[in-house]
Amino acid sequence: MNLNNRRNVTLWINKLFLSLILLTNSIYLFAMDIPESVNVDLKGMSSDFVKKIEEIKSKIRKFPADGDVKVLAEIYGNLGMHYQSTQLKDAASESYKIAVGNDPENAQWLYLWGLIFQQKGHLDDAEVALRRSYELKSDYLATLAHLGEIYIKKSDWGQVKRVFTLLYKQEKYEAISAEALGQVAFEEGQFTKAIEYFKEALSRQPQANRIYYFLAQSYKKLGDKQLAKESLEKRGEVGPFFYDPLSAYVDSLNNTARKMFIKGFESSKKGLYVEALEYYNQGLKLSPKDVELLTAIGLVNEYLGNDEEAITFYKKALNINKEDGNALYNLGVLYEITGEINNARELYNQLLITQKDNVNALVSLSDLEFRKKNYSIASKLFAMLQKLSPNISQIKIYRAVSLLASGNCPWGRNILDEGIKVEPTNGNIALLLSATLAQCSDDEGLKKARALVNQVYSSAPSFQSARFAAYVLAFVGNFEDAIVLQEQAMFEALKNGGLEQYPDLSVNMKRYREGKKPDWNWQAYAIEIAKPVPSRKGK
Amino acid sequence: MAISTSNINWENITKKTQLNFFIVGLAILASFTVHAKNIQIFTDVSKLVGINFTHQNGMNGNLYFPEVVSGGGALIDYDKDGDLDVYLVQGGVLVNVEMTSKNQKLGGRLYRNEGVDPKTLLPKFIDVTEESHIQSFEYGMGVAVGDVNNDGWPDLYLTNFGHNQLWLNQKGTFIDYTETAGVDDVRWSVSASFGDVDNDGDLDLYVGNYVDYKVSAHKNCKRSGGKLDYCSPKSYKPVSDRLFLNNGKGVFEDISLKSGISKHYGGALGVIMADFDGDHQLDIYVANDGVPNQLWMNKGEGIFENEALLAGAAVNSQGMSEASMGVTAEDYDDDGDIDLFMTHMENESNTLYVNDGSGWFDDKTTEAKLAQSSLPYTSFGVAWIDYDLDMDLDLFIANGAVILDSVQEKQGIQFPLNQMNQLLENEGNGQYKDISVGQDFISISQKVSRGLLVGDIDNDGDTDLIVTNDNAQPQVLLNNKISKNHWIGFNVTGDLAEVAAIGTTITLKIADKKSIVRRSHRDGSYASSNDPRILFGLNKNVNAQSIDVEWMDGSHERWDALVVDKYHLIKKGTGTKIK
Repeated sequence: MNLNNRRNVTLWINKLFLSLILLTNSIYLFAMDIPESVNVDLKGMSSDFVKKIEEIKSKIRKFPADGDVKVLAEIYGNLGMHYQSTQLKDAASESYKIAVGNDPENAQWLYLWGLIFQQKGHLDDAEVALRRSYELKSDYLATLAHLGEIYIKKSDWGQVKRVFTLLYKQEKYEAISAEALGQVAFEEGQFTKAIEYFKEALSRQPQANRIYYFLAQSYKKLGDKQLAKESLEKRGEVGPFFYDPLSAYVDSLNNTARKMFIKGFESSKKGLYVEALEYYNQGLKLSPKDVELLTAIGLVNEYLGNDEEAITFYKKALNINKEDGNALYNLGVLYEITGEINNARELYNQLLITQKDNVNALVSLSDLEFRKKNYSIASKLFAMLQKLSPNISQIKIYRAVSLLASGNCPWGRNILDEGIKVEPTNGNIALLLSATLAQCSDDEGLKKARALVNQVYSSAPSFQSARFAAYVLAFVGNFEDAIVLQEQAMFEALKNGGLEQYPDLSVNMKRYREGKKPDWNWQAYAIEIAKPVPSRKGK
Repeated sequence: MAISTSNINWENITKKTQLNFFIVGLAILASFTVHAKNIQIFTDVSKLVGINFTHQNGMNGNLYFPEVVSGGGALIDYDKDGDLDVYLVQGGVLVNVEMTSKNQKLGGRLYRNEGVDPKTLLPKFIDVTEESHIQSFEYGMGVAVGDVNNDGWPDLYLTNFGHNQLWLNQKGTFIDYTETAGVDDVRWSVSASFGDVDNDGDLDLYVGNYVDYKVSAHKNCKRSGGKLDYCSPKSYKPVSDRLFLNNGKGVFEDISLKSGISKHYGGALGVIMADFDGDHQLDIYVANDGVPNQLWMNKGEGIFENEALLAGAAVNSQGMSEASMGVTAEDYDDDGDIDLFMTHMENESNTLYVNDGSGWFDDKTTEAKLAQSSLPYTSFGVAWIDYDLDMDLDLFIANGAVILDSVQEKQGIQFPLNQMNQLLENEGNGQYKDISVGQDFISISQKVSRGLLVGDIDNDGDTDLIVTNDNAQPQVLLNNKISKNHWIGFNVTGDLAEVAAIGTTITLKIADKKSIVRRSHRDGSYASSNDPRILFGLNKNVNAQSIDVEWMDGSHERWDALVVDKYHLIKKGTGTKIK
């Protein structure tokens, strides 16, 4: 396709200037010295990388004065690619400049040079280089995609439309094209059309969550604030990716296990687990005993539903380092999910031996013991958690409930007393305290219990507070008020799915009407009111 | 027959023709001479006015983060003698928490403006820090100015990497009022802003906080190539901002939680208050470094909601967060609402958000030709100013890198982050042209610029500038008023002086011509406080028909038949009331 329909003076001048620079450089290079601009200080780089660069430089120094300039261009281009792989942009740019000077018809060097200009924000230079590259090799579509990005940055919507209309039906470029064409439609005021394009882009690459921002702005223009807000809630900053094998190759030139781990982690964050696995496996080839990589592979396998594979990799990691916190924790969680509770417990405990303040392990283990009704152990673990996170009320509640459930009323009450002082409006703490006071307290405590439930119910009437308030009032002998509140609780329960879920409601209502104290395991209720502590469970 | 010069009979050429040739020749020579040396718009008079200050960031090779973020300053008429005095923020030593600038005899400095010397025609400043009793030895970042107790004397709030301070002005000397006022914040604060957010007649305070950084927990960050460099804010967790409500007597209540502003935060560097939706309540815009910005819309009764994303003012047109540093807010297109412009890192363009009147914004950076010119620079302090008094708003931007420049390192420059500042001229159609080239005050003195203080320092009816530079001396730039255009200025005040002024807008009507809107404020730019007077350029107009003043309580007053080329005192209640 011919992109040369629009020529402007600036581009012509840039091209002439570019040609002049290239000519000057190519004349200079017959001297075969390595220019200062590509001879950078590599302190801090890996020894492998330094070795590679020295090998390339050695080829330059030995290059015969009458050698084939295209071969020299290849060497400088290779140098440029290595510099580019480590983000040494200035040196890479200089290397490509020399390569292009010696082989001006080579689309690859022009393309990579254009990318460097783009990264440095030199948009005009980038456009010149990329347009020339595309003229020479129009089947490398990534060139068009990068040109399109430049035109978007320049807000040259006419060119954006031309470029991405070309790319739109090309495989592996649909999402980025749809996003760009959506932006064009937006700029043209065609917001409904823009929304269609954005939705299409998202359907092709759901992880490209920056598109939600464009979607939101489009809904806004159509006056739909609600849909705009909903879109903004899903917004992120991940753009659609497109197929660019040359850039991927350049990137791979400085592959380290660490780099592969980072790339895999980034892919995993975006939900691209297969891609993440590829990166991790590449990293593992470079560093087979890397515990971090082995653990990461285990986790990704979990996400992909391969629990057995996951366990294998976690065990491999632990074989190398039996104290690795991530591997211990992840395997523990997986054992919990698969029902191997004792194994899970063992791993959490192992982790806490070396890292006694590991919050994840404490949370998981305490949660596990609580659910298994080992309240005494659970209360000790919650105590440790509370020391690390003294302001989290849920932990206090769990600890208190564990103590109460294990028969330790006074301690449970103390914790709740402290809790209510710090958070006087925390309804859960108030209700639990009132129940505790009602169960294991004196007359003064009972009065306090009644006051508390009234306070909670009047400030936040709900099914739970009505049910609990009725319980406490009946317990202290106030059956009249208890019946009123129990009716309220039953009414709410009916609205929310029926009375069958809460058999205590009907049972106790009968008892209240007969002037009898409630027949109810208040400890079970306390456990019910303590909501689950969040942990990384499930996929 | 072919014509050649040998065929020209010079004797036959008339004298008039000869004269024409001569004039043309002279014109060519003259134009060559003019273009060889551009007309200087500002003159750097730093060495001539008595401000002998050097900012010291305490660098010792460890690349501690605060070194690269400090510091700003303030223009403040602290002695109420009618001219602008200067307060400059000092850095200090960061070796350990206990060792402060006090040990090094460093600290912020206050310079009193003694007025224009009739011989030199330059303002003269003297260091009055000791006699003012201001003792600020924390590692300084920025300044906000406001009269917190409504006694008519402007006070100073200093933001620090460390404890913040409120210095209460007691008729020219200051006392440390921080504890009494309850406005300390030990987190890393950079920009702050005073404004009456609850319309109860006193100044409240918003403090923008940056990241959770401790010298003892400093991280060694690397750039491409593996070399050590200054860290980016993403290496540390952001910390939330603070909103303090004034009880009227200079004692504040921290309503950060109640108000809702602690729900969203992310490394605040720039803060500005303005009424963005025209509901006569001050809203707050926060420019964050690397995460979406916040637009806290004032819902009344001390409640704020962040509507930046929905309003289109959180991220750029591509939906991406940018490293926002400084921010300015004015009615750039004279359509009666407040627009925003903020500065960013290199390879991220600065961003122009144009208000549609309802507090929703469109990114018009490229249309205004502000994108490409900003890409090579990391920009901090910024201000919309009408430098040439031609009735439109130009831009001055203070630039300075945050990543070490390898070329400057090779040259042995001690703090290798220097960049050129920029002056961008509004071409009259809302588009800008970079006119920095050829301006000596820009090209000769390239530093690591941070704050930008804007005001009429010599009271001659044009906008002057002070650029604060990291680890260097500031630049005091006097406007040369090359355009000879007319102007008119307003000192806005009310019963509660400062409070009435902040946020007040003035619409100037010029006979048969356009209206221009400007507002009174001190905040904006980066870590700086500015001249609150309103200055209108009038181009060649000698008559300013009238001004329509809209106070923050929604009332309007008019003043007619104003004399140009002078400042007018506009006091609330003394104009003609209009609907």
